[in-house]
Amino acid sequence: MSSLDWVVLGGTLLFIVVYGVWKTHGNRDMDNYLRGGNSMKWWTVGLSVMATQASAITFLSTPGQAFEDGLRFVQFYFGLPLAMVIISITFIPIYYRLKVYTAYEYLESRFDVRTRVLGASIFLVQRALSAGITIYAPAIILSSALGWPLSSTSLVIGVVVIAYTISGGTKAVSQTQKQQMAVMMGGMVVAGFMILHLLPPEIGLLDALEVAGSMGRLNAVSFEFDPSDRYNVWSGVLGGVFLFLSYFGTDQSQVQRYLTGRSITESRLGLMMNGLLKVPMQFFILFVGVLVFVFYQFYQPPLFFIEKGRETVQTSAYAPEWEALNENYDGLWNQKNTEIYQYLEYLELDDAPAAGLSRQKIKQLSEEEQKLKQSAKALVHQADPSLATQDYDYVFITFILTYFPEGLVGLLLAVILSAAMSSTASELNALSTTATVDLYRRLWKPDASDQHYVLVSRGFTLLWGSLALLFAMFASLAENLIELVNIIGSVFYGPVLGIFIVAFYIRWIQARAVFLAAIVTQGLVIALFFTTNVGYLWLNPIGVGLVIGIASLLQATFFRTDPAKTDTESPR
Amino acid sequence: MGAVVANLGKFLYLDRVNERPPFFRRWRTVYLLVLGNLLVLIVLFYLLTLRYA
Repeated sequence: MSSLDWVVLGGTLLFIVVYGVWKTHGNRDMDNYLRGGNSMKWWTVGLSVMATQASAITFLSTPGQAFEDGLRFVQFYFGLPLAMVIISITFIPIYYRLKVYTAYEYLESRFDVRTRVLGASIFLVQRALSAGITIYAPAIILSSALGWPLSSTSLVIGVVVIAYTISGGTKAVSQTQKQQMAVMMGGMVVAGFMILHLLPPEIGLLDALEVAGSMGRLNAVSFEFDPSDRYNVWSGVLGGVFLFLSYFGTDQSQVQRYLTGRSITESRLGLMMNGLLKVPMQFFILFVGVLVFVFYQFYQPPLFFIEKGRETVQTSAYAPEWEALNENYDGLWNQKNTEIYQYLEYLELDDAPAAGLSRQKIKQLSEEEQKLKQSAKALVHQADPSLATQDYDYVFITFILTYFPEGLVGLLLAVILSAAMSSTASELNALSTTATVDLYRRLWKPDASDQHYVLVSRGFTLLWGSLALLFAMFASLAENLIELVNIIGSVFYGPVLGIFIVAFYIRWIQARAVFLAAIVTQGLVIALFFTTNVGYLWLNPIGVGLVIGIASLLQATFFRTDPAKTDTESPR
Repeated sequence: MGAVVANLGKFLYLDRVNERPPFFRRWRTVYLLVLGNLLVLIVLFYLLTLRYA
């Protein structure tokens, strides 16, 4: 990195943090500290909700996913707008009526304190695990690509976030997220234009689309119903709606964002903003990855993107095999490159049959290239089994560091770090609020002053932040960190969403039935995950279905004489 | 399933007598706009897929 890159990176992050702390210092009461005084307008709510979900993993991994697999991951988000509508209709009015700080407070109104504590506890476990990964995942990629020490990278992200979250609470998180979203989206737009600019002069956007399409990278939507296919319209809408209902409706890290709205209307509009913009935003980030893929059809990429892996093999007993692989790869890549130019020429001449044949050849060469890449990964694994072999998370960062001009590298790194900070801040804020309100205040010290609870909340922020940082600095995880975040969510979200769906919509089921059903379901879902090959997206609706089914059975049999409870009273 | 739909309907009815959205007369219109936007996007993405398939 050049001096200019450091200035851009440091200046951007410093401005965001200092501005956030300055705007929000002096929060002394719970309402301001935990709910932002219910003062946020809808666009702040909307940006905050979007920034919370868009972690560094989004910006590092998603372009790499498009590079490897095309646009089809966009289908994963098709359930989100529907979930936003359902939450706006049902969840928001109830949360506002009961004036809750956390989603789990509602569960005490509807059921009992045990169910509330169960919901809060599941959230704390799940989100605490995720918080560590939210810091660790970008840190390990950045430290590997830039040569930064892993612990220092984690520290930079963690300490800065802990500091401004402790200082200003929910309001600081929301204010900084506005600037972070501006940096994230602005940076990606600049990146998109830069990649187009870097393509060979004779290759325009339409040519780029033809090249991407010829190798299956513009495969955005599939209507085929195939349970073994992870991404299609049906899994996206049906499976995805449950995941997003749970994430946005019951996960405190999102609930806390829209509870800062100054009214039901502002909160709803914030979610509607998310519902309108999220899918195009994800499409755009994926499209940047497709452009990187096209770029690498004209400028040869490395056979394997992780430098440490390449170095390890080159200095091992497998070096001769590695050299041979690279020689094959060079020849194959050049052949493919020539064929691509030929294909574009046939298109320009309107020679459809020749273009069709050329496209077949490109596809064939591409498949051979994939085989070489698999062989390369196998060699890396043989040279050192502890090394990561899934390299598509490193595609985008490698591209930025190799080809972007000075200044822009710093800006894109600011994008990635802003994303990490925005998500981590929401997580820590939510963890501390839940621990303070649902456990500490409810179970231990119910009658202390507002100032006392604000102090306790600051303490919990420091505690959870430190735990997440420790985890990030010293954990050594499997290579699929990005999937791990979604897997953790899917294992725990289903039962919690099941509790809330029963709470909102199935009024005849009471506390004991749902409490037992949730515990049994959580155990079953964990067992399912470890003992079967069920796709993780389906664990959400399975969890929901099991809670509803088991709770219905229990209520109709063992607990049929339990009295009904109305949820008109605000919880403690 | 019937209970879920019935209760959703109750919430939609309450929407009519409570806060109104700033841009349209009813929240239902806002929701239809968001869902309509999703449908349009799916159609556009599908056309993109077909064009370059």
